[in-house]
Amino acid sequence: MARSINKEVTCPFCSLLCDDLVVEHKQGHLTVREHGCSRARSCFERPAANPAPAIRGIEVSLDKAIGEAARLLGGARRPLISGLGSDVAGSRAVMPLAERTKAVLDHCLGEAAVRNILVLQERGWITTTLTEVKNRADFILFVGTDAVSRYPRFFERYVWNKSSLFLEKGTERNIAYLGRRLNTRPGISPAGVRPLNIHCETEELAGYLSLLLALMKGLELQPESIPRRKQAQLRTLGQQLREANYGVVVWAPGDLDVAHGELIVEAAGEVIRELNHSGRCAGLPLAGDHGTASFMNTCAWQSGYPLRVSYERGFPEHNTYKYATERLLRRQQVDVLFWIAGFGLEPPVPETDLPTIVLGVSPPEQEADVFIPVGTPGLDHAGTLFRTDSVVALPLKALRSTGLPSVATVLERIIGALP
Amino acid sequence: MITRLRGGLVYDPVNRLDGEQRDIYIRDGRIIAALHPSGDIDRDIDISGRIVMPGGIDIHSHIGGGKLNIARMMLPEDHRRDPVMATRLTRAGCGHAAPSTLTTGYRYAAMGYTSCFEPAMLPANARQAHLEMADTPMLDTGAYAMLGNDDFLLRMLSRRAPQALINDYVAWTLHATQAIAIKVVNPGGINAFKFNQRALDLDDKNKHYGVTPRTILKSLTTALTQLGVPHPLHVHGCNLGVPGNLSTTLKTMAGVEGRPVHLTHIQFHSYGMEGDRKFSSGAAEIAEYINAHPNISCDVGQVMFGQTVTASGDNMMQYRSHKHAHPNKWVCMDIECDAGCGVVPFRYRDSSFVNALQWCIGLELFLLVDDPWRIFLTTDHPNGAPFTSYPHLIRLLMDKSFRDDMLHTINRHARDASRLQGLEREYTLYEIAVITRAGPATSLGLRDRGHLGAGAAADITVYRDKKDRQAMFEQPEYVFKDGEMVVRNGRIRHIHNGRTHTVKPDYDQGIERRLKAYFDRYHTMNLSNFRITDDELLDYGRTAIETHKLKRR
Repeated sequence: MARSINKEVTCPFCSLLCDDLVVEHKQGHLTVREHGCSRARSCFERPAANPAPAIRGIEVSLDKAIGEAARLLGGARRPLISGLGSDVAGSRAVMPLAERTKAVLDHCLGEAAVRNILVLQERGWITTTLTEVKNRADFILFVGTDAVSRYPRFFERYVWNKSSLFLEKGTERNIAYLGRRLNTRPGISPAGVRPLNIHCETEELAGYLSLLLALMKGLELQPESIPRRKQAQLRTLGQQLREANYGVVVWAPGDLDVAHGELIVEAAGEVIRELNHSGRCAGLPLAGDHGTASFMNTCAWQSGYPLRVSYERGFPEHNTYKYATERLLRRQQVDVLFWIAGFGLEPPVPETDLPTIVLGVSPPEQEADVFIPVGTPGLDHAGTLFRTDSVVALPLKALRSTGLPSVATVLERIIGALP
Repeated sequence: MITRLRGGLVYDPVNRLDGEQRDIYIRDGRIIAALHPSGDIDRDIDISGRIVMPGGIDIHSHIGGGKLNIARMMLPEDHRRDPVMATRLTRAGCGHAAPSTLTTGYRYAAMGYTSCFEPAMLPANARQAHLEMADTPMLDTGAYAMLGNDDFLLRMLSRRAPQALINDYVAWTLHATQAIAIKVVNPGGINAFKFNQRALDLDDKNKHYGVTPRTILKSLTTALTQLGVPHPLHVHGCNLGVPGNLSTTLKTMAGVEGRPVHLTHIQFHSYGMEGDRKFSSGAAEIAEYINAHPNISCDVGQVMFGQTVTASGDNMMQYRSHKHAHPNKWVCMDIECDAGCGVVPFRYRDSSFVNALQWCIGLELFLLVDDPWRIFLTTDHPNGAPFTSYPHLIRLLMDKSFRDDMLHTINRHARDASRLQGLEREYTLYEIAVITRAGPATSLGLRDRGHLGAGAAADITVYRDKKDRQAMFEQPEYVFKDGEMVVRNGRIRHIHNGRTHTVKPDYDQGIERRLKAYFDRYHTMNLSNFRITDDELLDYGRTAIETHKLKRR
């Protein structure tokens, strides 16, 4: 029986893009043989369903489905193209489609991405990338995230690794957490050193970071602003950050799901800025899943703006608030929903009465007007994805041939079929 | 099909044509020798009295890659002032300091440029840089891979690795990143900043490696000379923007011991410390040195007044200048044990003594360096100004009275401190053709670009001869790209996707074993995924990869 082993496979299912997987292919079925996390295993190994294209629940040919999608989009005054779970090729293809149909573009993780974008556009930041963390970070502070819940191999690959360029031993780092309900066990070093855990609610994070900043600047806190024990903990944290040769502050905007979560990112940025007056410290945002990093980059170089872009007036316009998927649907400011979910991990298609076109790995729960099955990048077709740090982009391999079209292929055909 | 451009006045410095009337014949995208009889001509375009030059070549313009994309994301207000509508033929986008890739391509073409080189491609970010260039229509592109702050090279230098091994690594990098040249940015300084060093002069040691910028420059210039890479090491020196850096720049030029070297945006490296404000022009000393040393070439990095954004690999210096950010937001990044970047928006003001003097220093350099083949026209887009300011800059160079008029609008103290008023030189059209076409092509080793001789690619720009050189260079009458008429009277007529220009010197495969071991231990991706294949580039939409010949050693 035909069986093949693929080495150095890039995993597309989170934005760490681990590229050391060994994946076996046997008659369309994939098995992760080495190095995958539990998510990678379940995603690579999910059965290759091969659903048929459908118009309002009735199976049709791919041509017919593409024709109907083009008809709906062509007739719309202001379609919303969202979800956007795709690779760079899919992102590159969606831009001319949005332009031609005067659409608004958002990503299914747009709400989280905006927490970072607002800070970038207001204050900027000092950041670093994964290889620097692996080799250089002697102190890592996790703010509101434990990393591993979203990025299972974070500690294995970048923290407790055996060798690094600048640390005596791979284990020579200190870890601290600030937040609530975090899985802090991975933060215990191989030698058994426990991390510093400071508990606070997500809503309190921005406040705690501001208090940390005040303490680092040598200011005295009002006794009522924070319990004495926590104050002592924050003081210790400040000292450890100051003493580090290269501190790294990690946050995941997806974990900062509170009103004005961007203020937490901004407060973390202020702590980092303060430390750089005399020492070194940098941020590491963990984001960019389901192709967010790929879409944001592509959208930025083609339109000038990262996401939440409207082509309604024939040129790109950007508004992080007005062009949010949820808001546009709720206020019925769009007339067609075009949803792309090429990884099969994206949140469900938002509920709406609008005509809906779905490009996905499997049909949506709520019947769509048009459903077109697509392959997953890195499994069913080759491609490129951006990593969480937005610097490294990695090639993806085609591991099997299912005959499923890529998002890019479908979008290009829809553009060709527009009235 | 044969096209004839009839009766134009040809400025083709490579072939020593200085405004002579010549017919140009084009077949299959190439220029061919004159045809007799002329009956075979399919398309005859009368350009009598027009000025004809090869298509413009920008040797240093930040058009693609991570730091530019950060600038785009960070500056929505910059784009809102310059929205670009879609047309039947062209895509929508936006312009100004960090324009969209699409708008970048259209605007360069509309200005008569046909090739553009991204000067600061981080190897770790090369895939993105090439993706962005693939989405930059109308232009051929190429990129310079950044080395000299990467831990792999610094480790080798600190262990006194043999030069042959360094050559292999340099050649491997050119292959793996699909680059045409090597650039070094603040040699060793970006790396030193990660160890919290805040300055690194030519002979200062990196705290961890003990390696000096001088050593890095020596090893890289030697490598490129020995490999026969046409473009010399592209050097963004130490101490960019620091008053008094003139002496570092002079030492840097002397430090390469006669080997070829290109000093980029040299305006930012030509500052003295004289006068009440401890800031003065070093243009005369720099120009004098360049004039006397034929191994040195430079581009200027002219600043122009107005809002722009500075995007540089030099995060050590960008961190220092963040307090001048306008608007007040900025980004600094340490990147992948490879390099770094800093993005700081900036507004150059003609009322500011420092900015006005920077403007003067750039112009002084243009006028004081005698040999136009060794100085190229750049604004270090977008760092000194957006590339769209080139026509204005050309007028400043060609028109002394216009230059004087402008000089009288700037900060009075800067004007008094500058010798610009006394410089009578006016660039000729021939010299403009050298600094914007022939010189860059020759320096990069593009044998079939930058000239109009038989066999050259038919990248041709045709201008109406106007007294106002700014108006003339803003809107060519025709632009041909690989023989196709792509622009007519400033409007895009045809969309062209360009090629990628590279060099690929041979290397000993043994370096890959070392690199693989290094990547497996210290990096966060596999070596095999680091490398960009030809197929990948073509998949991105480039029409061809052109690999240029090496110089004879």
